[in-house]
Amino acid sequence: MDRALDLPEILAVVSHFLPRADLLTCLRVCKAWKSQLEPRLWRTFRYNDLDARPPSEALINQNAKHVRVLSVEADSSNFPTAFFDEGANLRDFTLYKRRSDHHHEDLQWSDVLTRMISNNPHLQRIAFRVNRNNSLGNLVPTPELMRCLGACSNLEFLETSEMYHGKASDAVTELYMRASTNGVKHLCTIGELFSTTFTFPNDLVFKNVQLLEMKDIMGMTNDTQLTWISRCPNLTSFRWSTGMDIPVERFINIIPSACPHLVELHFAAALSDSEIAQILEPFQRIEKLSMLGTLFGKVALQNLKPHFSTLLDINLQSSTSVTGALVHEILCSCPNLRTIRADKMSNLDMPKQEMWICNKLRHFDVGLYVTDHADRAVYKRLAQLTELEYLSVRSPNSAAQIRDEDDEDEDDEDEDDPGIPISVSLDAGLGELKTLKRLQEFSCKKLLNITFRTSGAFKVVEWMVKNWPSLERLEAVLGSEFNSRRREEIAIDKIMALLKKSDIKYLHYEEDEDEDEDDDRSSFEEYGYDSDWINSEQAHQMVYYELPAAGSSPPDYDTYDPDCGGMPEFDGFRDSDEANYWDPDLY
Amino acid sequence: MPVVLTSSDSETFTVDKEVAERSILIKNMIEDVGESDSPIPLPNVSSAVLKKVIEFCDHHRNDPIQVQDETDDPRKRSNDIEEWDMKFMQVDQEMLFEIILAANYLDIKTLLDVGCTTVANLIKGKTPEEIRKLFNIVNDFTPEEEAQIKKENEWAEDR
Repeated sequence: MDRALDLPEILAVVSHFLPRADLLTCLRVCKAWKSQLEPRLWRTFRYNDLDARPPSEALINQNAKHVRVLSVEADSSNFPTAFFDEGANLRDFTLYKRRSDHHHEDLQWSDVLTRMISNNPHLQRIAFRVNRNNSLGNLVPTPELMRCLGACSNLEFLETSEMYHGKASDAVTELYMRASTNGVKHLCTIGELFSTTFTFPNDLVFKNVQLLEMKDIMGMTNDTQLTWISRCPNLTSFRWSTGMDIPVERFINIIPSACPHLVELHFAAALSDSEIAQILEPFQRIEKLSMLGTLFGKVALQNLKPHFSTLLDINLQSSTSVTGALVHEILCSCPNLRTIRADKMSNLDMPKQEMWICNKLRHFDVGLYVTDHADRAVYKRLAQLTELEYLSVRSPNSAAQIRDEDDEDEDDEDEDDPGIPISVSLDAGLGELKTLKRLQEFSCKKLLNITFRTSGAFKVVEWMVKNWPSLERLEAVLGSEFNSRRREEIAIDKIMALLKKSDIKYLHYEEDEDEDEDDDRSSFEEYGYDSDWINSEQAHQMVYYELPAAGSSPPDYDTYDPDCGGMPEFDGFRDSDEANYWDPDLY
Repeated sequence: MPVVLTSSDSETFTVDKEVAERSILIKNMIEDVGESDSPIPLPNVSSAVLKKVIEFCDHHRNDPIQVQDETDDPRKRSNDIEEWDMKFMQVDQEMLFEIILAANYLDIKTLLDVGCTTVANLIKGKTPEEIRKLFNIVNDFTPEEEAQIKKENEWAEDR
């Protein structure tokens, strides 16, 4: 045997560059390889009791000790116990809880989790999620479970969903809160039902929380939620989604001084243009801003101007008063912008003489429209954004409209109509984008399907493969409407084969966001919140991880050391500069 | 300030300090010993290999030093081999492994990655038998054992 591959450390490095299928092959090469590579295969493991081909229980028991990143979807009674017995060594645990009709089953989960957490003292990340197909899967916050969360001394990330505090006493809610007052840096609470009588004790301070996400909390008033934010003195980022009115006056009086490091504001709430302007005013520095479903407009933009030089990330999707001209102005004014998301912009919004200066842009997700065949001019502009890693020319919110356009019914009833969606074809000028050598994902939703009718979509995909060497994912819709048309089916097969050969993943765009069980995007992504906000910080902690394929495995805390020589230091929530599109919530 | 390196077969190479310091081993040695004219002996590296290593370090002399392993996923990394690196790695298998061993010994992470990616690309798509043949590995499994491993890991195939 070659000497180099005798060394475990070198075989380990080699294995990091191997896709899973080849890793499996390597297990059968010789005994030494098997014993060195098997732990790596198990580093991340997803257990679902509905899997058609699960590993045998004996195999699970034998390898449970190698698992660092575990996600489980099962009933509490058939959860593989090896993972919470002694000797287990989890760093990252995600539970996708199913609905149960029986309170005692919910209680049983709480017991199981209590045992699991206390036997896995190295856990750094815990997420209790609710399977979205079964949205009533409440977890019961028993005092025992809350205490053991609080005792989990390495915990840095805690996400809980729909825990039913309502019946619990305020004392248990306090235990839940206190579990996040030590090491936890990222606290995410979704749809929790708190008791209305809970108030924050004076000494309850979340001293390490840098990132707080509060989504659709029930029971607790917005004033109390505001108090929660104000108890995070080191907060850099928050996300607040609420159906109730935001107490704007109180917010600006309390938060900027209570959270002096806050630079990322994410709202999904009913906020008027002037309220947003009011909120922005007291902040010294803003780096990231999401205003989803708000009425962000000219007044707010005025108060965002002082932050144009520091702005890295802006998301204005689902905000109906955001015009294309406003989006254009941001692109012309923010030199450090990395990410922009908005619903629509047309060539009419971008006068030729006004140049975009955001040449560091990595992520562009704006629905593009054209009038008078100006597609090429728009593509030429995009072509200058050579750092782009993600490009979507169709926003999810406008995607639904295309159905009409698809029917070649282009009657402009709406007088604000910015034109027709940009054409994803070489004739229209897609070829201008050959400069985007870093592009990893291109999304056109249903637009490519239109191309089927004119020139060949195969040619377009062939061009992409040839001109975008970094391309890893293509999001589109192929086929669904063409089932009966033999000729197009052949083209689709050809496209699929080409993508497969080129190692490019095809993401089928679902218009109605079918809540596929495997598609466990984080709660906020449903909202179109910037998806990299968890990615970046997660990605920063991880040395290597598995392929970021949707529906594959959770992140892999792998290092060169086959025995998992410890995690790299978690150093907070840095900005997403180096983050690639990997999305931990897609597993 | 140039640094003098001596290979296992006693050939000396004079290189710029910033090139030599692409090797963490050498960088640490220089820091420990301080500035000195005396050559640094590298008894594990032959002159033929050292020549290649220096060529690589010289080409990458201005790259930012990777502090921590960057968080790229494996696939992207293997796709991302630069053209120059790919050409650089077009050597016979013996040299390839010599370079990898040297990179490991000298602690030059980028070179180790490029080398191991090249090996991974050799492995991709092959059967166990083809891999054994490629690297002269003796099969110490019985056919039954091999079949058993394949069977018990079927769960992992579709993940």
